[in-house]
Amino acid sequence: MNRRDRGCERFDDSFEVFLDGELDADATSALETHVAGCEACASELALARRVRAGLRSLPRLEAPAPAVHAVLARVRDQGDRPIWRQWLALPRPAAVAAVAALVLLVVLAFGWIRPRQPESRLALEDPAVVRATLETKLALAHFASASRRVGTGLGRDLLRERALLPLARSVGDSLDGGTVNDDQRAVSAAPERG
Amino acid sequence: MRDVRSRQRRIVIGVLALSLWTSGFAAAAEQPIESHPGYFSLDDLGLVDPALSSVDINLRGAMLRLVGASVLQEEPSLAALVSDLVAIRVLVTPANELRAQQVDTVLGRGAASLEKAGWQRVVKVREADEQVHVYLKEVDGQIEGMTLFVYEPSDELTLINLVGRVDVEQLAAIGQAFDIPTLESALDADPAKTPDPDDRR
Ligand SMILES: [Zn+2]
Repeated sequence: MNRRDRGCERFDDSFEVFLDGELDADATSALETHVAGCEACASELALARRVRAGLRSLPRLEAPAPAVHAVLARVRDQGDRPIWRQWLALPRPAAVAAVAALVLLVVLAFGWIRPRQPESRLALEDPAVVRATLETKLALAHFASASRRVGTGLGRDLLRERALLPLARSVGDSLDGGTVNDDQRAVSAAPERG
Repeated sequence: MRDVRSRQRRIVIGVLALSLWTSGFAAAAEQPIESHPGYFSLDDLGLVDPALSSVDINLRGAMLRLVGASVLQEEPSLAALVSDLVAIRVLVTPANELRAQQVDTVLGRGAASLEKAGWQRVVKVREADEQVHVYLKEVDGQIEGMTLFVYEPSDELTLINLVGRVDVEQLAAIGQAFDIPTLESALDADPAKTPDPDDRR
């Protein structure tokens, strides 16, 4: 039996916990027994391991949040003081962390570390990730196609009212005409009433 | 001086956005998917045998994080949308693999169970040549999930569950840019398919 079935699905959320070493003894032995006899789950578990290894090798993007908050607070509090004085006024560790965060951002923004991240690039080029990326796009394509059908039905106004209008549009600006044509806009933009 | 200050502000906001983005990722990955308010099990409908589906997509937490990271440079809008999603489930089945009457009954039952679970019906069309159900899960005024059933007896049945902060308009707009046949053939040719026992086509 090569395909994952309903018996397999109950382990779906156990893989991550298992890899964290946080699955209790009974669940662990149930999982191990099942995986030993199920090729599909064995490869699912192997994939989870690869994904995990891939995530570990990604560049650490976490900016030191407390430092960022400290900077923001200073900027707010000391509005009109010259910038160099604002920076000097920061407590030392916070200033160091904030500068480190800025350097990280600048480095990322200019893509300077891109060519020097062979490990993380490897993770992102893992066939499983490439496949998942294609699947994500295919899923969105089907979502768009389904939305288009909905848009031609009687529900378009309702959808707009309930779902579209209250949503943040911040990402919208980054989508220019190049990727969205007029036909597509007809679905995503306000329908003419009449 | 103003110039410098506005640049500084932009940078600080950038750092903040970056840290929020990555922490959002981490939070999304931890939660068991079934307990997420926006999750709805399409498989539990018992309507579709994934073996008969032309499209069977099931993506979750950690893998979506990697997808987001992999498109970050080239497709930042897509990365931003993906980073808000916790899971994506899509099943597309050719209508000739299904019995129309059974689909009708099961979709009705699915819609009822969504409503019972507090989902908001946004669209419902039940006609001879088309059946559409669109449901949203809102929590505190924020959309946390979306479930769609679209059935055209002459064409196919599409079942979709998007879990997480769903920006309907942006997802549809971005999705429009992707060509289904091109992606399907890329997936068919994908070497990662061979070790994957879940043969999708
Ligand atoms: Zn199994």
